[in-house]
Amino acid sequence: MTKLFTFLFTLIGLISFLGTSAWAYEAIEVTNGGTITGTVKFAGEPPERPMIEPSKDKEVCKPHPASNLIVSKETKGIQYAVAYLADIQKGKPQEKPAENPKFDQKGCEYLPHVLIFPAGSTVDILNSDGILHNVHTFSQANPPINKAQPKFKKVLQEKVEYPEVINVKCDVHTWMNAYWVVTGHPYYAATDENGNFKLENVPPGNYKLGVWHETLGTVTQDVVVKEKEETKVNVEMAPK
Amino acid sequence: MAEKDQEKIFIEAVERKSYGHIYFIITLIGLAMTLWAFWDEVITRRPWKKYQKEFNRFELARAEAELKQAQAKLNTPEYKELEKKLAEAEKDFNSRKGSYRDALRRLKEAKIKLFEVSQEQQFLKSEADEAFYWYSKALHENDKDVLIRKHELDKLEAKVKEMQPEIDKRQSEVAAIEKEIEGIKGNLENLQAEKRKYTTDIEQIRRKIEGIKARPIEIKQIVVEKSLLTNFGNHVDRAERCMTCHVAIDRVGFEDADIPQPFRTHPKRQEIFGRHPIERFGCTLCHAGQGAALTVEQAHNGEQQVKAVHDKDRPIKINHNTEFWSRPLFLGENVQIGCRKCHEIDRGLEEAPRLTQGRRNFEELGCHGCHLVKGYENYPKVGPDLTRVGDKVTADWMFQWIKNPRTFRVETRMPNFLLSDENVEAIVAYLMNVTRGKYLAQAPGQKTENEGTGGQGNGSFSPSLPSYSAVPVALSKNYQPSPERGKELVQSIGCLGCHVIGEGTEVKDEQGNPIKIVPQVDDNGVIRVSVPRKTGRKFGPDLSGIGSKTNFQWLVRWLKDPKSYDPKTPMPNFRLSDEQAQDIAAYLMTLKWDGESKILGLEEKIKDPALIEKGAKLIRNYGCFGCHTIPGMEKEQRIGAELTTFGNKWIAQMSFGNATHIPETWWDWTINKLRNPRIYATEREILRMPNFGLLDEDIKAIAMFLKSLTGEEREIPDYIYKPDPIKMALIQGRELVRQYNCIGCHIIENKGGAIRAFYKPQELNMAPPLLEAGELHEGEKVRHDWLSNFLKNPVPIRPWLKVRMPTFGFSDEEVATLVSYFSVLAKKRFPYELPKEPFLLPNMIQAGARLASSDYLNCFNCHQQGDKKPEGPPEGWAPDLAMATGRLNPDWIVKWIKDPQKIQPGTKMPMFFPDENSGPDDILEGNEEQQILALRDYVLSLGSIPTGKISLAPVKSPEEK
Ligand SMILES: [Cu+2]
Repeated sequence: MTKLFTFLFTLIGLISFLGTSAWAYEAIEVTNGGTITGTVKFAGEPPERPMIEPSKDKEVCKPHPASNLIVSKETKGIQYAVAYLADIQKGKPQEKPAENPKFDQKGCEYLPHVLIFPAGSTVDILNSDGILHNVHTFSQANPPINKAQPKFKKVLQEKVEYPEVINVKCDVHTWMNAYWVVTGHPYYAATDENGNFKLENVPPGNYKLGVWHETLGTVTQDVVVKEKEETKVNVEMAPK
Repeated sequence: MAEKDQEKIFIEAVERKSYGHIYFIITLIGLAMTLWAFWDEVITRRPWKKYQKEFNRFELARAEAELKQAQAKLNTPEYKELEKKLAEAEKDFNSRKGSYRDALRRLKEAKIKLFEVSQEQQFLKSEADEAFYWYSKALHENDKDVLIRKHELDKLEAKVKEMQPEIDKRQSEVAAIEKEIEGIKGNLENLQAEKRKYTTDIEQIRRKIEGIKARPIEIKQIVVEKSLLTNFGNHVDRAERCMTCHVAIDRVGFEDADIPQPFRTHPKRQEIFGRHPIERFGCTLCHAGQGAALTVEQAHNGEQQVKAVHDKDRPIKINHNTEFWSRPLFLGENVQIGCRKCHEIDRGLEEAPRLTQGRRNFEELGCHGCHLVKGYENYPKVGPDLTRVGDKVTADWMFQWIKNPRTFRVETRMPNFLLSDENVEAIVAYLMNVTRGKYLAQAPGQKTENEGTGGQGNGSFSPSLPSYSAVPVALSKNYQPSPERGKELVQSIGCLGCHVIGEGTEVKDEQGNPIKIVPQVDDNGVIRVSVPRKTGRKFGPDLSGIGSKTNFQWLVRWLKDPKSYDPKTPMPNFRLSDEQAQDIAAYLMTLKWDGESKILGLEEKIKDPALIEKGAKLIRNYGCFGCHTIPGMEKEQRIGAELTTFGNKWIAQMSFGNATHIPETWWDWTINKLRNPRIYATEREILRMPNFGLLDEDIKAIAMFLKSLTGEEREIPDYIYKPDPIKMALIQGRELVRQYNCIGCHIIENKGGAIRAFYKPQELNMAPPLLEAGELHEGEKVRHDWLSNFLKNPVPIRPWLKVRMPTFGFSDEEVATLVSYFSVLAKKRFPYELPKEPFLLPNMIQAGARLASSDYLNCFNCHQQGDKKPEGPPEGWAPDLAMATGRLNPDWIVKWIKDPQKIQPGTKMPMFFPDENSGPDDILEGNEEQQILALRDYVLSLGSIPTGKISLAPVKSPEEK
């Protein structure tokens, strides 16, 4: 039963997050945009990062701390949260990156743990480990894939068409877990190790700022952006 | 003179007296009678004529409108333009007729030449083929002539090649002339064809109009041969003239709801008449009806109003007397009643949903327990076996249960007998007296010679009673059962596929309806719910409150071997260890019922022999043994009225008692009886039927099923549906799948699998497998010999999974039925087809072994290999590849490796060959197709096909059943 409920909640979280990115977005030239800087902090005592002890392929897979909730001991900042403007309808154009976004498998860990890229990009999936991994995506809008990446396969390329948050897992190494945040507009940013993020060149106006985190869910708050000014926001997230 | 005169006067008078007017009147009357007879014969007794005339007028008007439309097209500018272009093209063509004829002649000549050279080459080719044969033979036999043969072959092949330029030349010649001809004709032919489209339309409509005008007004008749069973038991033909008025019933184009009856096309004409051609089946086989009739009122019945033909606003009033007919016409939904006459064999007839619902209600509520119905004589009792119930439940619980079953479990099918407390006590006294100490008393510590055979895993238990003592229930004193571990087990091993445990309205079944239902309580305090279908998670009882009903010891024993308690129970054996059974029992005992209460002094009272005797009388009176096996009641007969021909029952034979407010019709009687079974009771007539707490929907469905009971079923052999073996395998398979509730856990025919809701999407590979969904067909995937062995004796494919396939104890015949069913669903050759033994080439096996090794695809990183377990936790493991040989069909392995996600979305098995560059280049020249075949061959080389006989009982044909 508990399983069912956690599943339902995760699903509801994901869907509500998805819903926000399904907005129709119009690209315009932004000249007088403001900046949102912010910090996402953990409400409460920062938890320890448990160690992941690989149970197979131990010559390659090394013990490493889990990344599903990283809170800085000093600043209480949460890493790998994603801040985004939930209701933005017009803004700077979303530019394709010059280089394909890179997603590496190293020491049986995904790097980066959260990868943000625009819809329509092709992801270069690297296999630095040189052992068998498989890339298994649990997506709704995009067709889910489950492709093997044997040791001789150094790069797999995967085009992702539609915006959504995709959980990526490896079935060979069940602990491997990452998220692809496929964006429909450019106002997305992942937080650094101190929980800081920055959204630049936002057209002045009132917005709903959303912050999503894989373990803590989604919170939203109102934010006002003024011409060429910096708006500071503090977001608190608490365990569910 | 005077005499003479007088005589003359007299004669004159006689002669002069005119009888003309009398004759005239008589003639008139005669004429009138003739006219009347004529009128009566031609008009009065042929009222259908006006319908046919009306229909012809209607159709004629439509055709004339179409004609006008088609003719109007001739005046459009497009048509004028077309004519102009055509005239020009014709003129142009005529002027070049000479060169056209010349070109035709040249074409003929060129074609002849082409034919000649091609044939010559063909002969040479045949000679070369022959030479090739001799050459290969020589090569094969190491003949010394091989070089000579080769030389001959080369010579001939060179000759064939030599001729090619000549042929090409001739071919281009023909093509050139054909093109020239095309040029001369221009687009003349296209234009002609386009014009023809306009004119043929008109021509066709004209012909249609002529046809309608020439159409005679006549009786139309279908003779449905041998379709009527007489009272003397022989079959006679039945003549039907319904189509005399329903002229367009089998014609396309009159489907529109605006078209007045009787002219409309039959609904779903293609579907229904496609399988039941009207020339053979007629109308009344399905629609029934009283017999010959000349007027609308006499021919039809029911409350529905029929739109008049001539005056749409004046509905024809239907004669309500027809409600008293014993064979009324079935219209609308009621026509499903007719289906059962021929389709009795198909229990799940989807085309007649309401009738099927009624039939399921009838069967699952156990109506046949008290009422004899032909065909249900030996249908199993629906309630649990009570032989040993005294060791299962407490007397207090039993009292409360019998008093009002739905206070304990809302969706139970057990009806309320509306008994007084004293009577309930008496029944409890009897049941407890005859059943206590029959199950548990001898168990602890008692060893029998069968001890040990019913243990874990071997799944062999016989349904005969003595074997129950084979289950050891020596509850170890050293073991402390844990309700927490028990709960975990209940939630993971698969119990929830068939049972609900007190879930709120937010939990939905696979159709999206809430699991928990809200009952309606009517004015008399009867709790009414819709009859739950015995399927999915509602197959077994809701286990809420089970801890107040039963006891720990019973639960342990039951869980270890359910058939030891009730040989006919559909509850399977989960091959639990003693500890697991105790943990689960401990958990279930924590599920208490808040309505539980102690009945003061009950235990003392029920020991009273007089009360026990009274209880026996009551059980005989109320017929409890109709649904339950009860010791001491084995010889009792059904207590209710026989219903085999209930559908034909006359209203005069139905007693309405004091219920004068109920209209005296069959339907009203039946529906009110089902809603309130004692409504027709009087002081002199005591009724005993219990109240099933039904809702109107279910009541209507049951009434429809009862209406279908006419005794005609199986009586018109020429018309009875005889499924072909494939359809039969489907019907029988579906019935078994329903009986054992396979779809509680598995998805079969895209239905079921409600248990999957308890798994996260990432964990679905830990759920029971799909069997028949989308691209996945179990019958295609596995070898049928493996499947039959597995069904008999499940050996886990993924022993590390928590959920487990229980042992159902299928009979050989049931196994054969299920295997055939899955074969048919997979569209495999039926009944069985052993996969062809693949011829394994050593080099392919070697290539496959290299591919599978850790240097390449690293298959054994996840797949178990014999005793060698993969690294890491079991969640990441995949089945033993050595099992594939005896289990999987070789062709399926290839399909699977190519695209696992397509067959089983969400599977952990990744796609290794997504494109043409995905395989390693240094194996089999980088050819992915070959690499997949090599993997298959390697996998097949790992295991062996189990030898030994596979016992498969043949599926019985419908005649034998
Ligand atoms: Cu991996």
